[in-house]
Amino acid sequence: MTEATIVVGAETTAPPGAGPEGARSLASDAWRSLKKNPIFWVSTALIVLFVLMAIWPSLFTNVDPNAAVLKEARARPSSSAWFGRDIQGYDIYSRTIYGARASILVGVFTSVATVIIGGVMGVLAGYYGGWIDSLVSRVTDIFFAIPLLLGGILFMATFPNDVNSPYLLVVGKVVLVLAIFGWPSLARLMRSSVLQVKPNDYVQAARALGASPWRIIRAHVLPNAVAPMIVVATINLGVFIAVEATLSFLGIGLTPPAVSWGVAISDAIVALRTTPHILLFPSLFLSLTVLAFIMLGDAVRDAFDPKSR
Amino acid sequence: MYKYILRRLIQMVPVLLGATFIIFAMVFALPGDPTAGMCGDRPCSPAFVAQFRTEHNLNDPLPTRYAKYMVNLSHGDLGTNFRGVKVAEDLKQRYPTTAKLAAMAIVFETVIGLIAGVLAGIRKGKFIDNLVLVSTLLVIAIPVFVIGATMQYYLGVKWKLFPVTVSSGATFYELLMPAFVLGSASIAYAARLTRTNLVENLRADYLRTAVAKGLTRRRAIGVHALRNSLIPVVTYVGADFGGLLGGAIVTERIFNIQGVGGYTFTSLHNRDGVAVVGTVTILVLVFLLANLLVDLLYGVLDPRISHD
Repeated sequence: MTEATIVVGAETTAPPGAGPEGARSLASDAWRSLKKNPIFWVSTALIVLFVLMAIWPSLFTNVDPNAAVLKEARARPSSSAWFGRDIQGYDIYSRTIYGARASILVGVFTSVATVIIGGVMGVLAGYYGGWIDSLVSRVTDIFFAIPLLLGGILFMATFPNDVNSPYLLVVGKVVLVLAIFGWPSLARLMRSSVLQVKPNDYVQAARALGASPWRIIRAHVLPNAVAPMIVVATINLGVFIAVEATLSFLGIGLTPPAVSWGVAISDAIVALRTTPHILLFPSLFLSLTVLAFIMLGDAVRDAFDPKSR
Repeated sequence: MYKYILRRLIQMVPVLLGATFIIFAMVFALPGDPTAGMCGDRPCSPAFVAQFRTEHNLNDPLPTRYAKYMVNLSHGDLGTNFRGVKVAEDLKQRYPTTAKLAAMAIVFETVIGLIAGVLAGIRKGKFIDNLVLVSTLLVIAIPVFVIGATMQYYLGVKWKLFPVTVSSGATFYELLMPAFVLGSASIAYAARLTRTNLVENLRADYLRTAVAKGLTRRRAIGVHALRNSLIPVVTYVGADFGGLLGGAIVTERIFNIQGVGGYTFTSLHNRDGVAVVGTVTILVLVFLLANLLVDLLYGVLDPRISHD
């Protein structure tokens, strides 16, 4: 989320286009239509809420997520445990709040990593062309040919966690594998937008004035080519969170004692028949997070697309 | 045309080599000893371990093993798994099931996705449009294993509408629900993609011309607008093929389907690298061929695209 909003914010704080006659820049136009879009505000509010949950879970609950009350295991929601208790007697409300951190960390870090790798690869291929383009495109094809989930399963089975693995290492491994197999689509997207921007007069003019390739890329190509990639990366953020949960479901993503929505959901599926509330709450939060990022990405894309107005 | 296909097939070779090498390297870095537990309660004799390791080339360095594997593969030999069964035999039994599952998922994806997308697109902003948009968003946001487990419980166990699990025969009726679950997210994406493109094309000049020259609305939308909207959808379905094969691991686990997804997962657990690499190599090959087919379809959908 942060990327998309920062980009929008950064571009809109620039002086809006020219004069009062109405010749506004695309970014300020986009911001105007975003401001009126309730979906944008709902998704932003949800994302802020979940990020707060990830940073300061103690703001929302003072119950220890690892405090098991075994005699109340599988208890229905009540005033003492709002969302009830799970199979181990953990407080589901508290575990759901604390579980946000793993999902948000995986989603945000993976998205940032794919944006960096995919962006660099895409710019290299699109701007330099020639043999660099051929090489980078083939490498992209190779990684694209291995489906994300399959690659994730192979990688996590190869480097499994044990009970003593530190939390950040476990999260880091999931981020690493999702980034390794998640960047190719962004690289392709970035390459095609760079190819669209490159022949423009202002890029040619900058080159004629003797600007270095690095300066042309940084000051002229990137600002005009980065928006589609950021939008897709925002939507992918939700997808990565869902893939992390799927890996946890298969028992190879995050593993207990890590508290995460994926782990909670996979533990709860066995109890679906008798106590569905154990499944409901973590999957509700997970789906809301995924939904929020997808809706934000969609809203920003619609705002930037001149055809949709 | 044939030149184009040949060129694409040649380009496929380095991609296939690279992708299989990555998988090969990952799988054979698997920790654990494949001979552990092979000889019952006692540890295996050193002689057996030594013979086993030479037989499966486990003592060679990685590049040598990869080269040996690829040479065998070029003869159509997928190797023998650690249980002494030919991987090709195992796959021959399991591929038809997964192929059926994936094919049914793709049929669901294209048929339901297209119908929902077209209905939403031609009534943009109306009730049915919002219904499609909201329901597809929900399907995308809920992880596939939650959809699968919930549908299995309600439709299978509670209301007894569909079989709960799939027998080894894997009949069409048994695979209906798993295929829908496997394709669910893709149905949603395909519907949204169709809608977006159709909405864009409905405002195009050529459509106004088509209506102005007196075509019926059905023909103008069905032939002119829809055909032009299909290219991104077809691209998506082709690229999604790989995702389906990966997703099959989850779906086959939920519904106990004896296909390649489950085979890959058990082989991974048994540290049976040859079986995993063999299965995944075929998956990647199928995925690459599917994408070639998609590129050839472009020419059919849009005659301006030619592959000569």
